[in-house]
Amino acid sequence: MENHIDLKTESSADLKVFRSNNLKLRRFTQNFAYSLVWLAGLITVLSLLVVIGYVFMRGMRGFEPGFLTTPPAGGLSGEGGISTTIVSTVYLVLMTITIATPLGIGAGIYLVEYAGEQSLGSKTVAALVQVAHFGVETLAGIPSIIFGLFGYALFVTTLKFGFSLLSASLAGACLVLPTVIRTTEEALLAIPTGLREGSMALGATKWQTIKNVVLPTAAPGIITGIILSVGRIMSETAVFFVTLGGSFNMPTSVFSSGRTMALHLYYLAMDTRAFDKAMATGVVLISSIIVINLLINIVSRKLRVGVRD
Amino acid sequence: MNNIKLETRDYCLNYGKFRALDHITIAIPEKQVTALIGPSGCGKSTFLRTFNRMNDLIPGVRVEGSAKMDGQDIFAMDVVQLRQQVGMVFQKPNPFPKSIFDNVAYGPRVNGMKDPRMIKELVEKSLRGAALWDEVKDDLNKSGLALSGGQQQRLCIARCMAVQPTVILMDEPAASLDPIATLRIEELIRRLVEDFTIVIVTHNLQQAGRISDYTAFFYTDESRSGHLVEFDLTDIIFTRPKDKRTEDYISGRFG
Repeated sequence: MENHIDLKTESSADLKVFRSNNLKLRRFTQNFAYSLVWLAGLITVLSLLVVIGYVFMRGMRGFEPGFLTTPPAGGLSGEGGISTTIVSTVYLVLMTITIATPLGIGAGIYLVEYAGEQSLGSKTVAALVQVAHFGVETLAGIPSIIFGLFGYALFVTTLKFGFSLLSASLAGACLVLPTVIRTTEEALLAIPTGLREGSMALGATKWQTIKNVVLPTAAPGIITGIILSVGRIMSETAVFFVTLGGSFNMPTSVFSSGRTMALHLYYLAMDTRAFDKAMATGVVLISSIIVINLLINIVSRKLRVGVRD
Repeated sequence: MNNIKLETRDYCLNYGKFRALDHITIAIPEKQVTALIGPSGCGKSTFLRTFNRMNDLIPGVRVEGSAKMDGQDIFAMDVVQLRQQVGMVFQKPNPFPKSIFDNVAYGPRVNGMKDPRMIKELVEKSLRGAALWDEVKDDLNKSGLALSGGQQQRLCIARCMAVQPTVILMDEPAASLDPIATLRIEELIRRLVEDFTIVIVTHNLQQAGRISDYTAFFYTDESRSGHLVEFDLTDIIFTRPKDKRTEDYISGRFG
């Protein structure tokens, strides 16, 4: 062996001291680092609990019988319940998801499954695909009010949809499209090449492979993206502030104005004296989001069981 | 010698500027096991994937020369029809995350078979053919992923047989299996060859010796392109090869 290391250059006594010192120092750094991350974890969890605890405590004061089933009374008092805002929220979520899901999944499939091979054939397509990838990533990080103002300019005024569920769901779809596209892309990319090859080798066409093997395997990941979007829409205010209007009446058509729970919370806190009612709305909102996150956990656990690489 | 099933003439394959396979000329006989052996990176897997055009899926691949099945130009055939006739078993068992039944029924279904009774018969026949039926006949609805590695590989062989190909390509089908599962696959291959033409890539020389009728030795030199050095009856390749490089490889002097 020509490259063995000669340990005898240092006296063995020195080596011992060096080793034990080093060990003490390393133990200390280890404990110090451990304390730091432990503290960071503790602070994070505590502050989260404080926020949720505060909202629940104040919110419980705002709860009264029929809070969920009566409409808001309006006016400065902030009296009444939140029934119409729940309905508006549900409508808006359903409409937004209906618009965003097929578009987002379709775009994700195109970018992962088809864009690559088409890029080989044409430099123009390759450039466009690059722009699309970059665009999706950038859009995911843009402040939501930008989508709101865009929605206001295009859907509310130019297309004359007015402040309505339609305008709001179209703007909302723009907001969550990047999320749906990216989670779809990630779910598709996570599928082992072997599965695709296995299907093609049996004489399946590319589309048969996508439809019968790729999409079912990627479904849990894609569904996670959709559920994430649902949470995003429920908690969003800026976009809907400028596209949905703020009417607390029961929406009757897609051209009705409306008020989501998150918006209602904002109005109550800013324009009325009913701060506890705002917090009570917050409780409903937080509970719904918790349920949604539980759903995501269940779905992604299924993902891990369903697919092995 | 049997009829020639697969044949290439001066077949070259390039990835962009890199020539991965250089002027391969070979005639693979029908209903025999032909083993492709050689050191890593000599192009044997790439060559195997010529016969079901799996290389079509890789961007930037360009081929020259001819490759034929039953005298027909492989590259002029419809690729879906070609793959119905030339099945493939991969190194890593790749059952779909579907039930055992749906795994085997997948090929017939995508190729247009609708009659549930016919599909059911074909699934049973294929699972029997792949020596898996007795082990799974009571849980056909269980996920294919729940099977052991060796069972998964036999499931993949059954899935391949269900399309009723005439050729089965195998890319190191036992490389990820334990010795007992490997033995079962080898026994299966010997039985399958009564009905199918089998081309198998293997890194395991003993395996090539045990199961193949013919052996093709691939080798690569400084150019890193794959060449076919020698192709003959397995007995001849293993006992009195004509080429020095074959002899060195067989006797374990490199590779």
